[in-house]
Amino acid sequence: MSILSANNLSKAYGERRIISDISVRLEKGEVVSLLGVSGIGKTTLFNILSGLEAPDSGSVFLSGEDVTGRSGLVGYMQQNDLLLPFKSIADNVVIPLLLRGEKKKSAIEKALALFPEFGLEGLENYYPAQLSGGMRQRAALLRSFFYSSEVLLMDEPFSALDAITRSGMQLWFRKIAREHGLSAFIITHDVNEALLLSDRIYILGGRPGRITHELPNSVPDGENQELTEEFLKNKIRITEFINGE
Amino acid sequence: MNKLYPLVFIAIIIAAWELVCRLGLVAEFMLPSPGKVVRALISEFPAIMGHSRTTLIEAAAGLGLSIAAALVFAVLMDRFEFLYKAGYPVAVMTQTVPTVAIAPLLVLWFGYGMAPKIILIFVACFFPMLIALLGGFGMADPGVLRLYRSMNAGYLRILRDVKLPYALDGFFSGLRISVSYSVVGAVISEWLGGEGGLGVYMTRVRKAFAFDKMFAVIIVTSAISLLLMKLVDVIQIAAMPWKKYEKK
Repeated sequence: MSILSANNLSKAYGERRIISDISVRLEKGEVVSLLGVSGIGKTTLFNILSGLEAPDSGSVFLSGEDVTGRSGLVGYMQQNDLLLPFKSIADNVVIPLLLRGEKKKSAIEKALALFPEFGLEGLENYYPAQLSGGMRQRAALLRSFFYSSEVLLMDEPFSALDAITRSGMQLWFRKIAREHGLSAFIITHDVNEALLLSDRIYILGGRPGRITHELPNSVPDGENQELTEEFLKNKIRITEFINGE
Repeated sequence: MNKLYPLVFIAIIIAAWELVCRLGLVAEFMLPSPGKVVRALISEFPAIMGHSRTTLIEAAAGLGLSIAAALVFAVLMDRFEFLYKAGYPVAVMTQTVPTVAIAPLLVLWFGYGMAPKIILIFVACFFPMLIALLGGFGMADPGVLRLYRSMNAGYLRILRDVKLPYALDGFFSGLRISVSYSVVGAVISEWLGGEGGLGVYMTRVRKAFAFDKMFAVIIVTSAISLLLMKLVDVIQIAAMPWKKYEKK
């Protein structure tokens, strides 16, 4: 059974249909990219998957249970880190735990235990403004992880970073995702990112947005994989799929 | 260096003022020289300080009440849209009423004690505080609000964790204006009578044509307002330690 699945989702704002008849699934421990150009309805799809918006038709299932229109069940990491500028990094990452009613002391202890792995050791008392964009994204990911270590929805999580930091973050995320068996949907319009991080890739196209292709992908190991012949072939193929729409 | 410019400018004005007095261009009883004003300030300092105490108590009471009321109304207006629609125009109207005009009415209704003065200060300070807080709530990052909602956070949690901290900048901007309004409002209300206060003292020295003392009390009133505004700055820096790391 898929950990998260959506069947035949459609959504319109007024007369404008944004997505049409979209079905996607996410297996446990799988990282799946949703690739498509801007304005194709990727964020609308995420809002529906996270329960922030209800679809006009179709259903969302979390571990087999119908959760359509119910928010608060999956972790949602957005494009910007959305860290609260007036809270320390430790206080930021424990927000989901506190919202669940956990005591602050034990929440902070849990967070500090994961700080080294997330590259945040020694930064617990820093304010977000004192950290680089990459470090802030790490903190945002840890916060999402605390919200749901089962399913993460990541909306262009590294797009606000410079190219060098983004590349480092992608490698790091790949490692973290494997070690923790994360199940994540990642929205991206970066073909490289999709190929570097995903076990599967959905390509969204058309107006209204729909799934045009579903492609398996093997996540390459090591650095500089984007320079291999196989990677470049896959990149050309996917780019052709996107441009063909 | 930037602080030097206003100091030099003030020094030039005082020098020009002194020159005008020494040359006898204006009658001394109408415009006492800066030297005479300083001498009056020194000789009357204990009396002025006593009156300042009364003024400050009234200002603090009126300002404190206006902050509390603005906070309650801002939260309610933020939470319930119909209250915003109904309350905002009324709040704007309170600003169009000249405080000098309603002061005699307040004295008529509430007597010569502290009550009418505190009410007048409240009226003067409430609106800037309310607008500052409402504006501050509006500064909350929409993405953060969406994130909190996606985590099923309730309004009170969002208010405490997100909206109130985001409103701190606006709150302190409003407070900076309101502290000076509170002192000026207290002095204006005291003109109409009472046992003590800088406004009462002003009225007495005006009737005695002691304009050097009048200028002395004006300087003290300004100094109190400036000191309170500076105090707000100091409190803001202490209350918002993360600000010093944010890029300008």
